[in-house]
Amino acid sequence: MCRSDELLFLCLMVESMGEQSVGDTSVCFSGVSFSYQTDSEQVDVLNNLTFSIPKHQVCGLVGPSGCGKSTVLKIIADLIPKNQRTHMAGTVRVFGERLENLRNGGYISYVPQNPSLFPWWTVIDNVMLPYRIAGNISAVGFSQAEELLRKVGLWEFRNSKATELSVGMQRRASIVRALLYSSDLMLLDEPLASLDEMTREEIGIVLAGIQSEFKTTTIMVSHDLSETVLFCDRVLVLSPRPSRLVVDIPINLSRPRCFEHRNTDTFFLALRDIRRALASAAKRKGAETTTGVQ
Amino acid sequence: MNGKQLLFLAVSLPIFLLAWEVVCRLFAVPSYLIPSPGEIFTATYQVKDELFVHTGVTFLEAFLGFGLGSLFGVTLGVLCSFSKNIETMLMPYAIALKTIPIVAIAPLLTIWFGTNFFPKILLAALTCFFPTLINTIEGLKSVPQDYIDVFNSMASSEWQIFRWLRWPNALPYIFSGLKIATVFAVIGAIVAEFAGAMSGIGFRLLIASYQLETAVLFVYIIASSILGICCYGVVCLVGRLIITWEK
Repeated sequence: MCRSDELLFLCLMVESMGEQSVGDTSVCFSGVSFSYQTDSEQVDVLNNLTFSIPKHQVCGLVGPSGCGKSTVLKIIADLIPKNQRTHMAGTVRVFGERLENLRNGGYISYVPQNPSLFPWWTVIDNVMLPYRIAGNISAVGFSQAEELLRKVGLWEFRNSKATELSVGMQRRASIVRALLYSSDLMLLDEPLASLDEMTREEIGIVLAGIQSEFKTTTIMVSHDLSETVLFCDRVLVLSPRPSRLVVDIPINLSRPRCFEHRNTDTFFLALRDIRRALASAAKRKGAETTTGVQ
Repeated sequence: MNGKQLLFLAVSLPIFLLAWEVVCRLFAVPSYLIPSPGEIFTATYQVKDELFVHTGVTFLEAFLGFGLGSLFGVTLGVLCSFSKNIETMLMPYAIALKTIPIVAIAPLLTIWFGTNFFPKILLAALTCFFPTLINTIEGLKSVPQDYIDVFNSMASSEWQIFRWLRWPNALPYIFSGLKIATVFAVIGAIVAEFAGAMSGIGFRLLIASYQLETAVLFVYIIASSILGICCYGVVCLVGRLIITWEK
């Protein structure tokens, strides 16, 4: 990477890290490091990761495979088991509160990579899971589920078994289920992975609709750079493991987003910046490894 | 059993029986060695009254043993899934029990409990216990992590995870165990009858072998097989009615 490129990334980082008050921030990572112990070695996953995401923003997390993107989501969703094999340092705040104080708060909805609809339930039973867990299956909850299922075109399939749906439909249902739990902060782990192009666009439309209607703060992990640029307001590029923030790239595309945005210069420039940042991080990691070996 | 299998059975079985009959007559095979199908049918007619009684007795023993063994298997499987310590303590005993041949346990149970119903039920239960236990543990543990994450992200309790996630996920595994267990239960009951009984298929097989009633032996062997198939079929049917999401 040439000197001018590095300067450009630095400028972008500084520009996007403008001061935000705690009240406007939905997620804040301060010097977060995370490692876990296997039978043979200690694996350092995150290294002093610092970023903050304002409310109502859609933020993409990209990085090489295994760099810890999903771990970031699991930390925010409080899904990392706390035991002797895991170690976390630093502070994570969600809506200004420390993560441990937010337990059972119902602020964070999580959509795993696998749609994870339970095959023994119908679609409506699956999406009503948050109410079932809260012991609060009411007509209000049911009408909310109906409204959302109609929006994503699944109301006609409400009595179908989850296994009878296509993968795209299952993804839509899992997003509805997450929204019924919370529309404040949604964590999406590879929402477009292993989908064909048509289905990716279908899910993309659902996500864009959710963002424009609920203004949900969204953190989205993805391997697909184009889709990430298209749907996000900002993209955080992570380095190979142990992961740190390489660059924070704002995406200045207008909202609501549509697939025509893919033909704009802003889209191409953002895509180029992300690719360069990824390549630069990989090169730096390669150089560090070589130095280490020597 | 699907239509194709039924058709195959309907065609192949008469051909097989006919060939058997022809070979027996053609080579004049002594009936105490291999009775012909005709002789077996005649023997069936002759013992038809006692056949139902003995089969009924074995069925009852196998059924009660199956119920008892499965109940224990599933209950302990659930406890093991909740506590690693219970599993660590229990598994060596369960494996040791399984490795002992049931023919070795049967006489012991007869010495301890006599020739009544109880030792037969107990042996049938012991044979059912292990496959049900192992499959229950496997089913309760093999929940995809993403499923658990969905529940945990919604702040669910352990009981909710068990009730709405682990248990339904385990049902196909449990029914696989029950299918094996139901066949084992019939075998267990018959083996226990061999060791000392006043009635039942095992008891009648023993008498028929002493008296060299080979045709009657065949009748009871076929009866035990039909009993096993029927029990297996019932468990499969119940499984299909409960586990509607699996094709």
